[in-house]
Amino acid sequence: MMINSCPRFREKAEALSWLASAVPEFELTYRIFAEIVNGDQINGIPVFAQSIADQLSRVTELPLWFNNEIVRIPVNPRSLFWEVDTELDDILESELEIEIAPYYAATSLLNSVIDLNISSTFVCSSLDERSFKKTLAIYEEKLDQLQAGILKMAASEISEAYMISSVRARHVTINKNHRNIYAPAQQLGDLLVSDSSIRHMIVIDGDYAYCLHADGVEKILSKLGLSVPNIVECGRGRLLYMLENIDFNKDTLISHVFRHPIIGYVAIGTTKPAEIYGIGVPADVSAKLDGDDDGDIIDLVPSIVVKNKVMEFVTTTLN
Amino acid sequence: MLGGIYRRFTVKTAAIVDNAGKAIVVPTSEYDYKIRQAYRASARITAGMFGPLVSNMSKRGLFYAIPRAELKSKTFTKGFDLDRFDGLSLSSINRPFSRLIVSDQEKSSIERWCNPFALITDGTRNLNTFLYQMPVVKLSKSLLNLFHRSKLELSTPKYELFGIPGVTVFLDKNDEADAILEKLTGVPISLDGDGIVTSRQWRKQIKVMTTLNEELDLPETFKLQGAARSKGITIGSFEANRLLVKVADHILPVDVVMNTQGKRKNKAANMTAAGMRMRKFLGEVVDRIDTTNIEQLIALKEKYPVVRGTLVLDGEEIGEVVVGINKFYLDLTHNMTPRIAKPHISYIQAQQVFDVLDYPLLSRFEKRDVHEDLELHDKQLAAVESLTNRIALYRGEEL
Repeated sequence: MMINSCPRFREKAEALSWLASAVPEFELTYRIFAEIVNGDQINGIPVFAQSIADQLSRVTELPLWFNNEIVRIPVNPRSLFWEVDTELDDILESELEIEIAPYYAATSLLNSVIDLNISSTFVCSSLDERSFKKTLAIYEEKLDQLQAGILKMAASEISEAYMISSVRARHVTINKNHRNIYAPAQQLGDLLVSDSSIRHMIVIDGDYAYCLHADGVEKILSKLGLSVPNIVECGRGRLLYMLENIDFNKDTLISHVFRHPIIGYVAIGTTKPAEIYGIGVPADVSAKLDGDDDGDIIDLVPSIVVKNKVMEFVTTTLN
Repeated sequence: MLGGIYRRFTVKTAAIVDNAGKAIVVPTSEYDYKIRQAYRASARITAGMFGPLVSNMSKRGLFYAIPRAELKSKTFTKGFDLDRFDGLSLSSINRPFSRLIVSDQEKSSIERWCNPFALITDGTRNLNTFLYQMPVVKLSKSLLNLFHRSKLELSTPKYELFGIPGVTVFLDKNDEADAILEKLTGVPISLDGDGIVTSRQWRKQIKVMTTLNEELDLPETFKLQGAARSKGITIGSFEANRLLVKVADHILPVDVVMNTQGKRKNKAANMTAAGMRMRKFLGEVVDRIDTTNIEQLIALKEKYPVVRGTLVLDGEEIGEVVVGINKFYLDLTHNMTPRIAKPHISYIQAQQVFDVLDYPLLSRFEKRDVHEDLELHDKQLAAVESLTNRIALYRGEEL
């Protein structure tokens, strides 16, 4: 059966403009869609300027038109676009001191919805039975993809719910005889006293381990061979004071290093601030992290401070 | 800065298709692809100094980019034999045959102009994407002089391809070398990871030119590559007057310290070539190189053994090292600045690692409440489901 409920369009933007006039309730939304598909693309991804991003920030429902009926998809505007932040832009801005106007790209959810609206006009304007069947099959496939995309988003919401901050830098190999991880002094210092660090840091002073909450503290310390009889939950102010006053000649900072993005190994080790361009990891541990000095990115998360005790070790979870 | 470092160049595209069991190369246009945008991304390349060269070669039908996009039709019968092309030298290391260059040798002409010893270099060690990534640079007069006085003469073209020259000391990866670097930089960095250490003065002599002719300093950390994919990031820097090398009767400030390039097949590309440049710079006559003559290349290796010099650190002689004038290409496409970021725990599988180890680190981190987001996804799925059911009805009516 054929539907013939809309004209046949040659261009995507034409189809979206027609939908804007056919569905007054979502006129603005379809006009935004048309601007996006008519705009620039980088590596095949549509990109757009701040003004469109601002309009999308107010969208809470997306329409899916099919044969003069509308299905509404509730959305969080945050999930519709993202600011494109290329490494090249970063370098231009931070190191070469230039400003680049922000630009944005549609997420796969938004792209998928725009595409489905265009596809539905193809289905509903089919001129013969054969093309109707063909376009309907493509439309259904795209609907399946949208469904899979939503499930994937739900999965990543769960796995990326952790509020962690790290020092991110390039991998630098240091001499294996040094049993410390070396981190850029300024970024390490900034991170140590940041809100996100205070939430999870453990500060050990003698027989006491101070922390904001005690979840997992006992087990972590015992796994690292640190025997501390008393775990004390304390306020942010006290922790902050202790973190602000780390003396790297007397105290020991222990961090976790994560290799980005595929290998699951994690290095754990005592950490020193240094005038270093990246995160320095001893050569033997580097080999296990599969990191060499050709630009691999690694993340360092400071975790434990041991006051008045100097220790030196670096290990990996492979050991 | 108002201009960009890289510019866009148009290149011709082709597809590698199977024709009766034989791979052929078929020139393509955007209309041959199902998704035109993917085609355009391959045909419009972003490149620096060598962009015009690549673009010009492409116009003459000598260079093709192979889009990743899916072809509308795969039934081509006419095309060039794939054997006429080198699909490795200039392709991405992660995607061989992503760029093809006409070549009657195993390695392309550009590869050989860059690395005259290419044909006796490890087959997998090539210039690769550095041909695109090398920005336009302006060198100080002394560096330019160093290049021109040391550049190797070839049979065709007359000289090797431009690269940034640097007096380079090659150190074996060992504790002794690491001790020198620690003394030099103040940080116990090691050459084990194939990183590269440069003098601050050498870096300052290299200015990156923007498309509007502005001159930019090099950042602290950047990626650079010698011949034969001897690449690494700069892991430290030092004051040039602290590290010198005595070669014959000359004392030269050291620009670059790198490792001795472990594989024997890569040594000619770096150490023999660097040694020959050094010999030429010091006034010795060196042979013209026929980059296609493998016998001559092997003979040159024997004829010109590596150049050795005495390394002097802070005025103290510390031993004999291999030295030469190596030639480098830069990559400024990555941000190397350390920063505070959010690690992607799901990517790095840390959760699984910690679960296996029974190490509850992740329980220490605050978790965002995702209930609302998950509820929203449920509603979205319900809406899509309702449309799917409605579509099924259309199909049902049709049946």
